[in-house]
Amino acid sequence: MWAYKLLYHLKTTVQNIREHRATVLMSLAAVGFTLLLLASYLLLLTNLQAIGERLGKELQIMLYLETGLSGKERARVQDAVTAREEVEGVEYCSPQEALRSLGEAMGEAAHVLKGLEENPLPPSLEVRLKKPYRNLEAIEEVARVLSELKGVADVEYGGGWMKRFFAFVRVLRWLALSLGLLLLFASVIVISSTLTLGFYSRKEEIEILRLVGATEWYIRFPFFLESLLQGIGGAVLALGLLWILFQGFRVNMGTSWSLFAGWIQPHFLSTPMTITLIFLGAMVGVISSLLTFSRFSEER
Amino acid sequence: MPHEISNMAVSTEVNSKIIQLFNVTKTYSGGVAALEDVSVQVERGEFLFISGSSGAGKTTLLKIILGVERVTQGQLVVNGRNVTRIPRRELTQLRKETGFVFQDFKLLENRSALENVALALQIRGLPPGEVRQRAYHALRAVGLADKRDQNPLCLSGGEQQRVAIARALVNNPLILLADEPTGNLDAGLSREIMDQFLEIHERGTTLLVATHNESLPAYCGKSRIVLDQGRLAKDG
Ligand SMILES: Nc1ncnc2c1ncn2[C@@H]1O[C@H](COP(=O)(O)OP(=O)(O)O)[C@@H](O)[C@H]1O
Ligand SMILES: [Mg+2]
Repeated sequence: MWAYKLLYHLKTTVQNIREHRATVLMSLAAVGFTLLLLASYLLLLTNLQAIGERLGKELQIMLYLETGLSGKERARVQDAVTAREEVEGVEYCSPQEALRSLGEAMGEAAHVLKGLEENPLPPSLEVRLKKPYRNLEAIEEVARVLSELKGVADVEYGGGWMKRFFAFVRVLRWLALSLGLLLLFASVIVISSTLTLGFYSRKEEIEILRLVGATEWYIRFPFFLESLLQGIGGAVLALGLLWILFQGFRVNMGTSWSLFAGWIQPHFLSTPMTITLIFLGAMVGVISSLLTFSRFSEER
Repeated sequence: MPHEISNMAVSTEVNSKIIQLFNVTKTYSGGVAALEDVSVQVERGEFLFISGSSGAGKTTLLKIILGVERVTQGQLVVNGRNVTRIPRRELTQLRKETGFVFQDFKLLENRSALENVALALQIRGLPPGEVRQRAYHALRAVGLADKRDQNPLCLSGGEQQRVAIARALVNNPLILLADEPTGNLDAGLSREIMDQFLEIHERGTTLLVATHNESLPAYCGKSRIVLDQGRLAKDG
């Protein structure tokens, strides 16, 4: 029985859409454009976040030890560091090794190091953190704790610019949230107005349906479907457009982006993100119809 | 004579009366009292005319029975249901049992005659084949089988009237409410519609027909109540 009803609902929905297709198309375009803004913003954000993650992966904590520690004392520091749950691995770097890698890094200019009478570099521990802790907050916290260990002279980790980068991404994320809400709200208004027009243009039919004993939900369902379709359609439209724009960007600007971003390829929205956006579109549709229904019930 | 009955005392049990109005008053928001202290009892299977001049409250009476308008005061019981404060959910059930033919037909102009009739079946979730078949039979019963694919705009007033009747009857309602069913028809067509109603009545349906046409009750040989400015006048 419900299956037949669904069939009639689908028919009515198709008929509704066909009868005011200009309005529906405009609404779809408006919702699509709005969601496109949101999706592009998310795309930028996820790519920036990818860069951040990449940088975060390279983040290590360097613990400079006091010179003149005995092997036993050094081992104690190393054990204490390893014991922390955030720590994935620790590598000891002797002053000699440090000097050698410094020499390698300096290349041609390395000969100035030969003039040194004494190795000025302290022994150090390179601390790699586990994945979930490779972010600025966690690193700062771990670094602070480690710096208080006995035998540790100094701590160093990714520079202040990273702090600024992460702060920037964080601001962008908050902006995304508020901008997103605003844009979704705008979509709701667009779909809701389209539905309202639909309700008015089918006033007679709705009246008759009520008189022959249709339930409110029977009357509403085609509008609900139309609204849902507009929300999902808008999201799909936005994602399709974004994908085309993204391909264009990759072909024309990909190299400059990679240079800026440290050889990270720009990538499209992840599958979960894509699904989330379509889901958001669907939610916009559902909310729009519920809002509209509340104004069009038979007064009793 | 108006009986004084408290809200609680109104019996909603199924009895021989299918429509009961107890001291019903309907006042529209503008302050117009369309019905005043009207008490009517309609027997199951009765064929009753509601007559009275224009503005007497005939349409209002039908509308409150169908739950389109709310009773301002008094009690209304239809087929054992107290409709006075009926929730919307039960109202749909009541309406499925009650066919109506309004004065302005209320047909959809963007649907064929058959589709207009089918509407009343689709809402019950009947399979498409059955819907078509029953809608077709209902149209054939009013002599419009060959006009089933016509748009109502292409049909005459009498034919539109009959499509509306077909739609009202397609669900085999217990009650048929008709508002000025001959209002737009000439005498010949009026008689045809009345004959149709008599036939429906024969099958056991309760009919309530509002009309300002004095000759219809006599033609059908049925009783009537008379409304005068919202009040029940002595049976004429
Ligand atoms: N929706 C309405 N709002 C306000 N007044 C109404 C409404 N419908 C009817 N009336 C008034 O109620 C009275 C009875 O109307 P109606 O029931 O249509 O009478 P009839 O069908 O006998 O001509 C009239 O005075 C009419 O103007
Ligand atoms: Mg009237």
